Amino acid sequence: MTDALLTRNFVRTHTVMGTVASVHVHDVAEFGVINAAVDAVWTELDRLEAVFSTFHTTSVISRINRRELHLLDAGAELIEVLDACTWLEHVSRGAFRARRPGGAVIDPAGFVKGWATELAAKHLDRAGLQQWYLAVGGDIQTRGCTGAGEPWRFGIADPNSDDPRVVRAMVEVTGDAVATSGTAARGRHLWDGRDDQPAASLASMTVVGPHLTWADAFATAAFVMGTDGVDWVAGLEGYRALAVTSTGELVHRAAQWSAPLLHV
Amino acid sequence: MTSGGQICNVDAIQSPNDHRRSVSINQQALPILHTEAMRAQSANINGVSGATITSRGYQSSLQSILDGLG
Repeated sequence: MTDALLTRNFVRTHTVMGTVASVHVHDVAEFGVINAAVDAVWTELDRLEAVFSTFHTTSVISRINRRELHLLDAGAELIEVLDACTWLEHVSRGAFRARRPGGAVIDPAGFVKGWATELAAKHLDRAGLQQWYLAVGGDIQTRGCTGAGEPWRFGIADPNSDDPRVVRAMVEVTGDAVATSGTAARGRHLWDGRDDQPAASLASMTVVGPHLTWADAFATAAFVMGTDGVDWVAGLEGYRALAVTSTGELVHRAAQWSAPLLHV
Repeated sequence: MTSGGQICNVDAIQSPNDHRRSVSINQQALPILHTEAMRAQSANINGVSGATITSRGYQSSLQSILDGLG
């Protein structure tokens, strides 16, 4: 092993699920080891998109919705996802829902992106990597800290600004996931499962906690609850929420966060 | 081969509920929240969390700059 093979600031991107995935690896490791692990991450994300995308007519979900395939014949992975969605519908008292308004069409998209990202990221763990983040369309799983030994620091996009470089807040995490739901980027695509009305009282909802699967799902559900969603997330151990209202105010529980010690 | 991990410089206080949590969570400090709005630069953040952007929207995003592609 020579120094020339080692790297410490590895970045790759990949277009998937209608958005772009980014991976940043800060481990001191052989380039080939990192590259092969990231190849496996992209392959896994592509595979999961092919199973779960409601945009692809050949996906397993689309075949179920056309009644070409029965749910119970669709495989353990799909049952796992729908099982988790059922639990989320229950704990969110109906705010989260994995069916389109009307109830006939299964659409677990509010769950799948975070779950698939966390699942794909396991390829980085298996390669022994311990300092990285994987982001898919603004939902992030981290491990460890940066190459400088600092927490990973993420801007929370300002949902009320047209300037993509403006952030409304910043969070620092070491190993946690950060997920944000909102209407800013793709219009009103979230429904309140309780009354089929588009959710509009907040501009965005960010959830931070150990697993991206749940951070993303809780953010989706909490967003449609409005500011009540912040308290709902606070009751889910290990997870905390940060809401941005349509007038730019932050709503959060201060006791669930540390304040920065140094001014940035 | 990897570096075998690195000690993180975490100054934040520990969660008061640590005794109820798993070991992996125990080792984490509370996340830090900065509440000021700002125009971010690659020097002060590693990435961006926000509502999902399209692959086309990504081209003009702050994340693309942080990925070295902007």
